[in-house]
Amino acid sequence: MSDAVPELTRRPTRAASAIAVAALGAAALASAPYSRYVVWTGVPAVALLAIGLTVGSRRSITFGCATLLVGVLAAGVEGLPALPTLASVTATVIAWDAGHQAVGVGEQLGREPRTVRAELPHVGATAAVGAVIALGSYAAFFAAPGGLPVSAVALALLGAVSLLVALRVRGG
Amino acid sequence: MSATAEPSEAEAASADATGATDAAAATDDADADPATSDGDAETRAGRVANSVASSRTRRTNRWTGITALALLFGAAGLLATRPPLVLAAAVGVGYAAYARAGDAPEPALSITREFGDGASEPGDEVRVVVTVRNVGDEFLPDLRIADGVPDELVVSDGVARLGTALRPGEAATFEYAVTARRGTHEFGPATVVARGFTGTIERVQSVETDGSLACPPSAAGLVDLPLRSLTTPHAGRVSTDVGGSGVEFHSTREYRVGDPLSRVDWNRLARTGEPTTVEFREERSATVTVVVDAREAAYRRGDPAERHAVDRSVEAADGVADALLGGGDKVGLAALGPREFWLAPAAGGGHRARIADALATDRAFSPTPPESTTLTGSHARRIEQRLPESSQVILVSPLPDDWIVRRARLWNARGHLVTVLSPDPMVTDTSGGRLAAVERAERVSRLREAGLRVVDWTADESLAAAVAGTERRWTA
Repeated sequence: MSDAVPELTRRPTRAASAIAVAALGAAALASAPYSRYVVWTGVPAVALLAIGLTVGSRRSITFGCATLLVGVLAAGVEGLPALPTLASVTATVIAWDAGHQAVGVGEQLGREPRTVRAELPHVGATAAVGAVIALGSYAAFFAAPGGLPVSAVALALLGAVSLLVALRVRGG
Repeated sequence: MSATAEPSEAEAASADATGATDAAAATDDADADPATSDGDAETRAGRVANSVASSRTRRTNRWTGITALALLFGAAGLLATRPPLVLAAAVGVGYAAYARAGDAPEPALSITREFGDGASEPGDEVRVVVTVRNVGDEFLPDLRIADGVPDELVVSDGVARLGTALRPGEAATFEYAVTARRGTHEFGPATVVARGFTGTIERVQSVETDGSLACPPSAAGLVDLPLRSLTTPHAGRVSTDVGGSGVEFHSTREYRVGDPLSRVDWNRLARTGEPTTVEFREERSATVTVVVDAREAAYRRGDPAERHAVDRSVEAADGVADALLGGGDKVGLAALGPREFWLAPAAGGGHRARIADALATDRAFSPTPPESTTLTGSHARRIEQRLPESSQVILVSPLPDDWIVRRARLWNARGHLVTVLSPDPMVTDTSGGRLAAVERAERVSRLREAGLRVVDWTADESLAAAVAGTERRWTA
């Protein structure tokens, strides 16, 4: 009788895991033709993510995504063009988010129940937001007359970040 | 990527308080808003939100580190004067703002439960279909539900959980099967975790649901437990050592005037010329009190999927009481435990129904263990005071400790001849389990040495077989 009782496996769910791996793979592929750093970090990054999604380790997922970001950062310092940079960073954030969603749903519900509908809206919203931000900033980058000085853009960003920090302190 | 600190306790506490009031307000709204209802009573009933027992919000720390990413890329872009990196930092900032904007929704859900078959026998699979409807006016993009299946019911097929997204008015169902157990099982509140799109904060609710699964005990079958010879003066089935009319030969004696002619030993009269009378063992009825050990310690089992010992005890008590009442004996019923129960010995069909009903539904014999584990000396003393003078005792207990052994010997010594019917909980998998089994075997032999009758009933044989097997020992 006891072997008929299904055991709940607290492992990451399949749908969000697949999306995470696909997104990180796409993130690596987007910049790989431009820089060897992305090629070098891409494979271990996807491997770390896959391991994290197999055993349900958030840390491994974060390390995997961070690995690729380091590669993209190095490539960016070397002169990676804007479009692949934006695509890689956005896709990495999507992979990171989908990976965490997979682990979170897996921890709370397990792999057996139907959970696809709980995973997709969240991941979809993250992807949509990412696409809007990336395209918006890319458009702004091109529309800016003669190209803004980098320091100006950076200062604007710093202002945005301090605003966010202030909001976080206020909003608690 | 872990720049943001954990949320402080104070933050969590304040979120708690606001969460609870918000949820209450949300359910009130849903109750008061008849706009979505179309007047049909049935759909109306399905569209009222279940009340929320508890609700709190919790930070998920989901986007922790995204600001660090933005700052890192921004700094690198600034130092290396690479505009694309600064653009990438903008992505980080955008996501950080998105995460800030997220809030936990306040779900208003109507959760209904349907059972496949109402009247089920223990051991049957019962399908449970749970329908969850979003009766609020908020889209719930990430809703996780775990049904409050009682501990005693084991989910044997499917999973009692669902992850889904629900538009206002939309419903989702999930189904699973449980193995029915004896008793009335109240389903607990369902646990609901709702997140918004960003998932920064999640709301954890405990949603009250109705629904209970009642499962009458299976017919255990009559179990003819031979009684000991402590009887009443009334005719019955227990053979006594008193000569008289009956079936089994007892003795012969000198003929006395008035003896029935049918009992005169005519062969002997022909042989010797002396009239003698044959006496048989007189068969009388007994008064029996069945005492079920329902202390917390008695709720033992080998495997979580198995029935615990009290469940089997109740089944045994049912079978034994039924058979004894059928044979004309007076039977009483008592529960030894923090939840007391006492039914004085009596006979008759109505009493039979009362006993069966008590075993099926009274909380003293509930399939869930009592919360209190206090010593039950006073309960035992109350049972002792109520026991009629000439009553035998059938103690149904898995013999979980020495206390019950002392009790049984005490009752036996006071003249209530005790028969112990002991379902073996069969905890043998671990070293602790093996120790428990050895201790229990030792208790059984101690009781037998003290002159008590003990039926040791293992899980894989029927009670009737166990009784038949032990009976040989008694007559031999």
